[in-house]
Amino acid sequence: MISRRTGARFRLSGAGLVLGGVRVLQGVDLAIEPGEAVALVGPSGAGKTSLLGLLNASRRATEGVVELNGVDLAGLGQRALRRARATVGFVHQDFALVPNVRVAQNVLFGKLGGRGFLQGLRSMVAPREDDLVRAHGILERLGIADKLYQRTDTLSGGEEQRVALGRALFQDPVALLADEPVASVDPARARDLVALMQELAREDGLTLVVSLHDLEIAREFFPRLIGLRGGRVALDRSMGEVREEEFAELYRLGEAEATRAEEPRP
Amino acid sequence: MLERRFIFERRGQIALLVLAAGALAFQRLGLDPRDLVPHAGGAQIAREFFGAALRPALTFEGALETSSGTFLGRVALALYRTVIFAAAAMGLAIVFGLGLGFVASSSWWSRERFGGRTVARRLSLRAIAMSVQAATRLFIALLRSVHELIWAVLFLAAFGLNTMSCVLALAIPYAGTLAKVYSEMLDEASDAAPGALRDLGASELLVFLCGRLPRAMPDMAAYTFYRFECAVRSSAVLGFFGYPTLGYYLKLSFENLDYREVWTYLYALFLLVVVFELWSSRLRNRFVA
Repeated sequence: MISRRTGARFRLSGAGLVLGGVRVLQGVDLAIEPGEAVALVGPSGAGKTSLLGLLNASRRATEGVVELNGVDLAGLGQRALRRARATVGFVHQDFALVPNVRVAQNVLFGKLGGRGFLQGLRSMVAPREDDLVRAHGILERLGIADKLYQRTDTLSGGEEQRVALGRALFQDPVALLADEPVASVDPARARDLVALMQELAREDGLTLVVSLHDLEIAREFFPRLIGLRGGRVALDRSMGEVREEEFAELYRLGEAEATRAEEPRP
Repeated sequence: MLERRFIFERRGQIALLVLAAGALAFQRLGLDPRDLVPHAGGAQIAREFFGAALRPALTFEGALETSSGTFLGRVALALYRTVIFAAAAMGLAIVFGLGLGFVASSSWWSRERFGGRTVARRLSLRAIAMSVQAATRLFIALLRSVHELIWAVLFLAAFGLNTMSCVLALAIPYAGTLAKVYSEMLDEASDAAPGALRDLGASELLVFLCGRLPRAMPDMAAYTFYRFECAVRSSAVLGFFGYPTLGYYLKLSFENLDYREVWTYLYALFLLVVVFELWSSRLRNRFVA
């Protein structure tokens, strides 16, 4: 397939985020080019999910600038912000599907952001035929076309994850973000899934940002690595240049911090 | 040294407290099981009444019965009227219960929906949202706090004996109860899917209707069925006020001392509730599984 459009360009400068009085991101400077595939690594609590939230425009930066295709997200009103979100597909760690509707409906929900109220409601109650055809096509690419009319909660975890990915693709996005997709399935499936996302992003020309725990997989599939630690960018390099010690460093310091946080108060 | 703790400490205290409260109520009311032993004249009536339980009437008992048609036909008619009164009332209650339940739920007034950019705007929007929600909850409590029998007495006095007043008397407290329970079920539904729909740019109304409502739907449907069953019983009781439901005929037979007819009506009501239960559990299974 030939890519129909160019992927998203993200630009962050001095971006920070405070959630419920806790600082989770600080002074983040990043540029992610259209069509790039980036692995986001770092220990738990390093701010990976929060950073994805900034890229997806689902969280507003407390300070600094976050730009999506040259548009400063801080300046957008509610409506424009929703339009921006509609262009970014996000696969949540827990998939966040509606369990007791059919797979087709969950996939069609991908367009709720791009359509009006009645059209959106229709996708739940009486879907249009061309939408179903498109959803079926997407599920075919994901290898679960036969699940179109199945109830979502009868699927396995791996299949549900693909439905979540299908919903993101149904958005017709310019970027695809995934939060810890590997943590929620078994290792063999995880590798297949990351390979699949890589392939889909390349074919459609999407910018791909995936947060990962698994350095093996990061190294195998992603040309660029961004390491987070304590809410800051600690490492941002093309994969070939990353030295073994740097990986170790990222996690060792992270663990030390985690241990310190868990120490009981005297 | 390990501190010893009783895991059931708090719950155990509460359970004891509840039991103690029950015992106290018994003592204050001077309840005496011997009251259930009937006095001389009563014993005869009780014997007749409970004796009739094994021989429910299949035809009219009263010698003075002048109406045309069979007794079982009348039982069927009474049941039918009982059910359609309940159904009409539930129809109204579901419509208003849904509307009020949405507005009474916290998720309807989400921060994302009613939160402005500036602090002043955010605070004023939150204040408006919270007061409308509180007012709705108060209104719902008002609907619920008066029992359907009391509404029926009021409407009987105000509008006289007509079908609409009976249906309304049932619908009002039921709408209140449904609204309260619906709103709680909507708020208890998982936030994951609604969050994901919000993240892909869906408007807050669609987030609510497509992400939250479907998740709460099976619970809401099951509860609605249960309330329907309650409405059928209430509809039967409203017959005692003269509405043409089961209670009306029950009262007539009772007053004529036709105990075997009374038992037929009671068994019919029991059968109806059982049929309802079977029907609702079948539907529930289809919803949930």
